[in-house]
Amino acid sequence: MNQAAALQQPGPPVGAVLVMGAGIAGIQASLDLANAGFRVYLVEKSSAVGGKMAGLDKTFPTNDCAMCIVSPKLVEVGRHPNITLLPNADLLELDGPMGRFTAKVRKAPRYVDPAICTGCGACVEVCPVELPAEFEQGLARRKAIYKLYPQAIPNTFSITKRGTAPCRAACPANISVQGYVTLTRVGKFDEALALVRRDNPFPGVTGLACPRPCERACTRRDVDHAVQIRLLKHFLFEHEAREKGRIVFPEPAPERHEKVAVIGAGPAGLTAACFLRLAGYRVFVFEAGDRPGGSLNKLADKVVPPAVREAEIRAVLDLGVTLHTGSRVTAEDIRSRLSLEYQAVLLATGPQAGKEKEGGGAGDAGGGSGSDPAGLYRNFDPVTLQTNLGNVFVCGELALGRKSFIHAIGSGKEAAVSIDRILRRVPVREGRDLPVQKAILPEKEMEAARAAVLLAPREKGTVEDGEGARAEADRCLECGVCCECYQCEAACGAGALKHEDREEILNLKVGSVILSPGFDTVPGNVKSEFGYGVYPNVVTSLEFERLLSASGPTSGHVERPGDGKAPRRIAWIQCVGSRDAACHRDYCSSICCMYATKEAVIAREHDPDIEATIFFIDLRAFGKGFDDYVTQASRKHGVRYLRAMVSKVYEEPETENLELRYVDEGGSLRTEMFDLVVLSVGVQVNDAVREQARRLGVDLDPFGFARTSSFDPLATSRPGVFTCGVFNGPKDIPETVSEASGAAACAGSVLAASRGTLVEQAVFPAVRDPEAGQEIRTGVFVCHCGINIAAIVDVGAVAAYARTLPGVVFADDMLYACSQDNQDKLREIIQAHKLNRVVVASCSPRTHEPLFQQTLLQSGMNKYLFEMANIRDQCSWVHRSDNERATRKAMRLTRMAVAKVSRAAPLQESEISIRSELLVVGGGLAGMTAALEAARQGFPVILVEKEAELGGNLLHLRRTAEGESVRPFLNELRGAVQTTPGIQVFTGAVLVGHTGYLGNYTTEIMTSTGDVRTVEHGAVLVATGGREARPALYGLDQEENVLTQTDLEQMLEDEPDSLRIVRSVVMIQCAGSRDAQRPYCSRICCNQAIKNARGLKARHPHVRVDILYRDVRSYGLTEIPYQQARKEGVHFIRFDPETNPLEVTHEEGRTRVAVTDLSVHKRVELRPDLLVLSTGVDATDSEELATQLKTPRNEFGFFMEAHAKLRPVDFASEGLYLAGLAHYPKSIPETIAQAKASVARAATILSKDTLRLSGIVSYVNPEHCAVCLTCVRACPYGVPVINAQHAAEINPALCHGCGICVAECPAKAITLYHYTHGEIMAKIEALSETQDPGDREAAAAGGRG
Amino acid sequence: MTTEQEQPPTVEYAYYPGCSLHGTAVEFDASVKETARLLGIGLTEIADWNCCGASSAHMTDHALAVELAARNLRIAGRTGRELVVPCAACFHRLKVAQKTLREEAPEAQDGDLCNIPVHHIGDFLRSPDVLKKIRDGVKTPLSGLRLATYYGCLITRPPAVTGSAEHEDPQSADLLVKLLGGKVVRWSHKTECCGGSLTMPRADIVRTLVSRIVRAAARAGAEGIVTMCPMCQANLESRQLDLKREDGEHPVLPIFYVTELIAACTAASRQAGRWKPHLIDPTPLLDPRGL
Repeated sequence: MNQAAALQQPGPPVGAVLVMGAGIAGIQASLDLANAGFRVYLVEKSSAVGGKMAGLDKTFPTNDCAMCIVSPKLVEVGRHPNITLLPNADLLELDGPMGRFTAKVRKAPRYVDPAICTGCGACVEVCPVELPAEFEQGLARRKAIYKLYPQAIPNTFSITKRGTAPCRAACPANISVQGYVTLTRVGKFDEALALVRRDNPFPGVTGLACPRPCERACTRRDVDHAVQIRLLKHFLFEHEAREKGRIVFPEPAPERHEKVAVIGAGPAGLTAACFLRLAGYRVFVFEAGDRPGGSLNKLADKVVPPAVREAEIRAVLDLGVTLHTGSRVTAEDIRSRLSLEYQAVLLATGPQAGKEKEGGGAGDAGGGSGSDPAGLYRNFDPVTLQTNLGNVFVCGELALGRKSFIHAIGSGKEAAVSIDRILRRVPVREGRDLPVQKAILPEKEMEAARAAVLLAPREKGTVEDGEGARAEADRCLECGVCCECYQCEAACGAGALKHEDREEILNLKVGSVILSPGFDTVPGNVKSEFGYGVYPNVVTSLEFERLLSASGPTSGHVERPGDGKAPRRIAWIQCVGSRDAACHRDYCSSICCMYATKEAVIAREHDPDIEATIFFIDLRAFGKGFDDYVTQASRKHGVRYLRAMVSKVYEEPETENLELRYVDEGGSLRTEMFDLVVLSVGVQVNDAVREQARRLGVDLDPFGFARTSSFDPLATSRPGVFTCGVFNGPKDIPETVSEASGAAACAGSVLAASRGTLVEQAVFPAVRDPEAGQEIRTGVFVCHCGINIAAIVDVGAVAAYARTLPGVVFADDMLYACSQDNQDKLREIIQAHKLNRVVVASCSPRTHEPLFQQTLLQSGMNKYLFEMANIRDQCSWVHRSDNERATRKAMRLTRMAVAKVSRAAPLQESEISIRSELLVVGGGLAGMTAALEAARQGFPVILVEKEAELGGNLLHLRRTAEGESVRPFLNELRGAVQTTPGIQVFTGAVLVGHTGYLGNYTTEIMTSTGDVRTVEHGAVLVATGGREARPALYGLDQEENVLTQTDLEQMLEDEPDSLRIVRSVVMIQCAGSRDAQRPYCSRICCNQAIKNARGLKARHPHVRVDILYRDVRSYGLTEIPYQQARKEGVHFIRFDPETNPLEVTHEEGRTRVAVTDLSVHKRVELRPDLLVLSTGVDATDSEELATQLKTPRNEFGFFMEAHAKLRPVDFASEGLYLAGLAHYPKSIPETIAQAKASVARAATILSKDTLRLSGIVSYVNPEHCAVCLTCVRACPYGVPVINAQHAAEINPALCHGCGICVAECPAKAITLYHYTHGEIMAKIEALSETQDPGDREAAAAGGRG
Repeated sequence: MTTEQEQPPTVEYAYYPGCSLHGTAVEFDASVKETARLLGIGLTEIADWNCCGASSAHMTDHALAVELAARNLRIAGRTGRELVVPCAACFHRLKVAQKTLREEAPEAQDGDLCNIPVHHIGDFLRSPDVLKKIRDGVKTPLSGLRLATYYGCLITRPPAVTGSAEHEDPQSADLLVKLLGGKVVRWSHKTECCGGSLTMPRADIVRTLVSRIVRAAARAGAEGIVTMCPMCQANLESRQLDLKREDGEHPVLPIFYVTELIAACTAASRQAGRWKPHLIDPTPLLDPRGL
């Protein structure tokens, strides 16, 4: 439907997609699109990708480390050639129609050039500004220059700047005021003074007599009084005089040949002279009077003692400035002589003669003027101060008119900058006349400052000593956050800092857009009765994740924030900001029951003494494996689940322990003490995201979630804009990932015609493999990693040692081996030294190996002739205290790498061709949706359905949980599938044979007529569905009035009149679910019961409906219909098979149900006309199919995905995908999303003509194979087979290169290339080499000596 | 008694004392007026005011309860000044009346008169200007006196009526006590119910509630409790005497109005008999501090 609109546009759509938000959803969508031939712009507001998942400790239900499983994806997205990462950016507007949008993106400045930054972290050490670390949920602090978290991608730093601090913005000399105030605060007085002198050579004079525009602009004035900035400057000058006894300027740059004449030795002229001299120019100052100083000499002696003035002027001259006093220069002199002899002339003569008289003739006092340049030039540029003469410049009062001497200093500096730029032939105006964005302190911080001052006022005073200065400087409110002290610039070895960075607006042409902005957690104080923010030992669940995390603020020790004690009794309070109309968040947040369970389990794993209690309303463990996880938590880990709503948390004053008050299930008021309380805060859509949605024209529901429909669950209200993740409703990670792939499919099908038009293919020179017997020529590069390695390991010594190793013909150390310039150098060295092996001793291959391998490829080398020695993570980082032994270990690691690489063989990466057809098994909702989606994307589809009719469960369903009618949708879908030319449909057909591998399968299908047809295809999608269970329970299929929910649904819609006589209906949930036989939750039954109950009530309002439930699992936004049902008079009565079982009897057609209603603590007896059972979902019988495809299923017959969290629609073997009920019970919108997701995943294969396979694969030597089947059993991907020659064989196209078979093979018949026995043995031998590296180095040194 | 430290009024407010402040809580009334005088704030009692409808009217006749309060609002509205109310119950009724009139009769002719800003004394004293005046006016500080600030039910709750943003953890009295040089203890009972409405029919419940509050304050290390509500003050003070009689070990803490402390700290000299109306004598705490 949307596609039709796109087709009306002229020309093909733009083959690029913008993805907004780089959490796990955005990352997955980007990867799927980029791997399917589209260009992706991944826009992220924060400085790094990873989103919420990167901040989690473990994930349920597998207890995988979140960072460990997500970081490969972070790395992949970071270096994907077709993904343009735009961190610190935001999508502002979207113009144009679907297919050809123009996306306006604001890219905030990062202040660090990611192309140069190597991520070493030297800048962080020196940064004086601290603020709460967002990533640690405020439980730790970070610097103004920071990396969001250690594994962040892009692996570069970023600076938090609010703008230019008002003090600096007000300073005519643009001195970095907040910078030197901050450096003063931290006691770096010398650095502070040096910072002043970057812009002002006269801190002594200005420290006494500056008119202080900075203090007038100081934000602190609105609190009490301005920071006494001038006093601090004065202190710094005095401190230097006391400590050093002289004025310290930096050394001038190397001498340059250009000569500059400065006319006038007032503050402007001297300032310009000073900065030009520091830049290396030869500077000559001509002063008409008899002494330098100009207007500075007019300052009263009692304000500025002459000694201060004279010392500072002398210090400038001592830099090597030549001064001629009594030298009156006229315009004619300049024209005829100076402008020829000097490369530049600066007029700093003070006020012009005419104006001087008006001004009262004060100019004579210092003798600073007297030259008459009038008539020399016609005009000048007010920004650059360059006159129309080109090499003549003006500054000071000549340019400014009558202004203070601090203005003169400022203009002198600007003139110096211009002269320097002109002489170096750099554009003189560039970047200089930009508007200043002033930093404004948020009102909240102002208020806090005001409150603090109210209670502890501070009078204006004098600054006597360092302590006093630091205290005064401490009053600074740090308006700009980053104080611009440039300490980072000085510390950065790579030169990556860009403090002058500016915001950019990009207009990107994209065909479609995916919104995956993610969520915020609800603020902990939304239920203020729990005391979050008041009691230190009440934390949010996200804070608790950080407390559990090994990389968190407590290094994974669970500690109370209040006193650091280990808590014993921990309580989780569920539904904080969820299912709560009182705080306008009526929806269920879906994830909290499970994450609380996980946190409780992990906390107990950290410390078995912890007693974990979870206070909950309904336990919503509705996902695959969730119920089992909860059962384990309760039975094995002893987590206590308490069904109660906590009304208030009190704090025990003596201990800071917390007393929880609640009503238990028996109706009694209880109080219980805990050491720590965790609030299971829900999810919500960020306000800024709502605002963005409004700008983009995307409709939201009242809670801020994107509005979608049941049958098009990933499409927003704006055509061409798709959504995934929590933005369209609360959900967990697997569903988010699944939706992300689904959104990628939606975005891709809009643009299918332009697939591959905007992607880049890297082209490398031909590889020159070393010939057999050729001499081994290894190059070793030892990286400093800034100070990361070099501060601990003597990298020079390691390089020297490497030179002594066999085969090494070149070894050197590099500041950053990974920086762009060193990559170029690496290439040159490879060529120059004819290297045929390369070793880099640096950081982790996980992040950097592909980069170096790329460089090898660019040099025409085989990328497998490369080895890394990790001397950072595994050496310098863990042996900080022992430099010598760390150096020896680094040598040893390098030696091992050299030994291994010398045995390395060049490996060939074979290419396989890929077929573009997709085989879909199953013609229900999932199968049909996938078939249609794949056809839209241009892939031929073979759809096989075992029944005679397409439709699956949709044939039995009538409405979605949201109330939309199923029939018209089914008819439309079925029609589309049957009429789309690219889809070949086989009904009444089954698979009878299947062979092949990724991209090249051959499958035999037996059709309804009994013929066997052979089809060839590139991928397989399993969508075999499931069906409603029919357990022999409560009289089902025995009593006439007992039915299943689907039976009821059909009656309700197809023959509503048959229900006219019904007065009372009882529904029993979990009938045959969550018991010993079917221990899983079928996820959909609660919502189906609620839907049918409401449907019944709507048609027959008089009918009494009682739903007997164990937990109402109306997760996410389906909580709203549940609440509606209660309002509409549907009764909900809780039972429990163990503590409160049901009694169901049938006597002479009369049904009786008895149960204790816990809300009134009374036994109730119901006599329903209809007894409706929510029976759950069974997997369809798929054993044969599973055997044919070699795809694993779980004990209940549902197919098993590759990874429960991050690969929810993939099978472990590549090329096989799954969707729908075959995976696990799910709703209609969820099935549609997953079906689309599986197409997106398949598209990453099908869209390619060929696939390059890694050279790292296993090979079986058939001569040694004993056919013991060990490898066949051990392989997690089911790759090894016994071939016709009666030996194991491993298809390299299928092998993942994990090496498990190699380790298991008892006959050592299997070799893993790149990790051959020879290579590994060489490495081990090098490790155990008896000769100590130190000895050898000493010997080598001796030899050289 | 009036002395040189008084400042001429710079701002004028309308003042609604309500019945309690003319009866059981005369010391509250006196301390509010004294505070205003000392700080140079003009408080003029509105003319011919009537009962706010708190005790019985709102339980018996909704319309009457609203109308009683509305009449006072109209009188205040005609002064053209903002209205300051010390009694928590009066404040609550006036706010309820405003909300009701806004919602039920938005077209009412005198709606504007009724919609004048109504401030509870705590929030009024908390405004930045007044805080500055108090800080500058402190002559005799509390010198580290440890106090539990107690707000009770009606000053901040329900937030839909009072408009409070910090209904579970109010701060106005905390700020004032700190400003006077006192220490505020952290405790969980700031907004617990003291049982004020049950004081006649169910004294047993009230005693339990008061005991919990006083014990919690004592455990938190408080030497006294600060209130801003005449019912809370009376309830907490009088019930403690019963509790002490029943249980000799029961802690006994003096109960202050925050305005009493402000007046005492900002007054030029110590005022004899200032603490006379208190059933629990606070002078052992205050004498050493010169208050």
